[in-house]
Amino acid sequence: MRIDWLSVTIWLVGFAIFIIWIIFPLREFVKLMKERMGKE
Amino acid sequence: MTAIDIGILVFFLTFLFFFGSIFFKWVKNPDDYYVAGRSLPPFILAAVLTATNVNMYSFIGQSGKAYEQGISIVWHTWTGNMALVLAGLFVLPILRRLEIKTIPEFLEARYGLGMRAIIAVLWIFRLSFWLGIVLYTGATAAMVITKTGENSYLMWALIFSVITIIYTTAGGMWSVALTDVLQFSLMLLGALIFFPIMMIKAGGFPGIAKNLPPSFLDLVPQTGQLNWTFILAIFLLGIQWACTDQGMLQRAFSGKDVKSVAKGLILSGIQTTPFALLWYLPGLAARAINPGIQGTDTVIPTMLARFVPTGIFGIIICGLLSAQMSTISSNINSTATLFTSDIYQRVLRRKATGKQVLRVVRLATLLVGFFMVAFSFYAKKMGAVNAYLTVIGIMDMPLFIVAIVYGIFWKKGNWFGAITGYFAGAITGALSVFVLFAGHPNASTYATFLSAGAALLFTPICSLIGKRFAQRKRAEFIRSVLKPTQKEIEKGDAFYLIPRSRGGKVMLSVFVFGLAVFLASIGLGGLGLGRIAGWLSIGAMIIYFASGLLRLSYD
Repeated sequence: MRIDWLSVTIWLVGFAIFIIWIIFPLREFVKLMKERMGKE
Repeated sequence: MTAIDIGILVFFLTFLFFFGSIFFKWVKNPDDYYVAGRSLPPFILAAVLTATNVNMYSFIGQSGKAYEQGISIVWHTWTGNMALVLAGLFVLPILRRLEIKTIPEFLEARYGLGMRAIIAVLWIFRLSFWLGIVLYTGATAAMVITKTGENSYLMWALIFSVITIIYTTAGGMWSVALTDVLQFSLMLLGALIFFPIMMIKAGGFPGIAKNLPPSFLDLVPQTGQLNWTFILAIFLLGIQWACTDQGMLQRAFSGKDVKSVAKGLILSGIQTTPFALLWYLPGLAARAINPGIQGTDTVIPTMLARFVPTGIFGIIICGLLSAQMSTISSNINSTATLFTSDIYQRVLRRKATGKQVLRVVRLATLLVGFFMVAFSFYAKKMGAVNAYLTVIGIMDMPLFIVAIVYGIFWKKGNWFGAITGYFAGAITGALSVFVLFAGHPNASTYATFLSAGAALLFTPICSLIGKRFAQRKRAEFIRSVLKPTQKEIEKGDAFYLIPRSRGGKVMLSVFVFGLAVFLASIGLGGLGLGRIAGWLSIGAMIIYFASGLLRLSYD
């Protein structure tokens, strides 16, 4: 079976967004938590 | 649903409930509740905006539309994303600088209290009914996907609403925003799992191209319901939505500063663009696999039930629930904010203390939630969901013209022109849909243009007729925030609408060029050059996004 590169590319871009959107918001979230905990 | 799927679902809902409720302690004052203390950083803001915008309708309704009519429905999301970038660069920074919480609040600053009260009341009704429809579509879809039968409607409606209402009441925008981040990741995960399953079953793009009529792959069709005029109309509606939708703006106002707001909007627009393909293409794949499915809303549920194995099915259901719950929580919070900020604090009890306001806004959240559940039972019986959605589209377009176009950029506008322009636009739009073009497949497209045209025409004419109601001071105040505030300059974080540096100016020029080429390419589709128009519009859109994002790196 031939690989459908267009579908693979779309999926990889989606996967990259998924990874980026786990890392960056998580980092911001941890920072926010630390700030709020520090305030209380 | 098997025991494993149910187990995954129960775990997800329990976790969400506790996670959402812990932010109760973070709410110390009304601003914390309304706009998360205006302290959301850009990536969280982008995830929040995306989670609010993408709901079950995206995965099921729009994908079903791709099944029925072809890929050009993708512009529904793509032009919305382009509009987010435009709003992020030129409009939202101005509104964020005013430190407002709602669009009616902006209307008071520009046109006076009367305009604020009218639009606030209209928007409370509009958002409450919208919530009922969102809950109804979500519960109906869950019923079909899980094959739990007609009698499970109440169960699904309660699953969607009770947990969401409780954590939104407890933590306000903090809970909404931070559960949105979690829900957005799950949504994406669900789409990432479902997409390859469908593409493999359909034989990938070659299989889709072989089994579908060529017109289904035409991105900018010359004819049909989703033709080139539809793309222009939906872009215009997208701009209106990105600049005036309360559900959207309240999240944007939670950004910690003007630059974070601009960045959050642009990032949200850019990342949703490739993501959208993960839910539109399964619709086309479904058509290639089985072209005989009746009812567009049953396409994806049918495919899910047929192809997705146990365990994985539970994860995808969590993704779909996330999409719906994030939209519900955001809009409940927005509706309660409109009532408390625009009606209670401004009209009913001007001297309310912070504690009283918090009590009222929490009560309002509960009431809106209750109304949403009650209305969702009548949404189907009314048989007017589509008509209603058309009407709210018509109501919003003139608001954009009056509030943003003339409110910010025209000094001579006054409350008399604004009210007349608003109602002229709304009435013209309604007449277009229900009388002039009743039954026409492109009625909504024409109504969008006519409604915008009427508001564009009537607002200045009536403002000039009612010259004695001139509101120069208010207009000048609004124009004063076109420039960065002293606070922004002192922090070294000033955001200029027209950048001062050469690099910034170049990027902005490239951005405008991308927009112009995009509009021209859609016009080419109208001339029957669909293939060139498709590639050119995608290229122009990429240039537009890239230059919009890079522009933020320059002063």
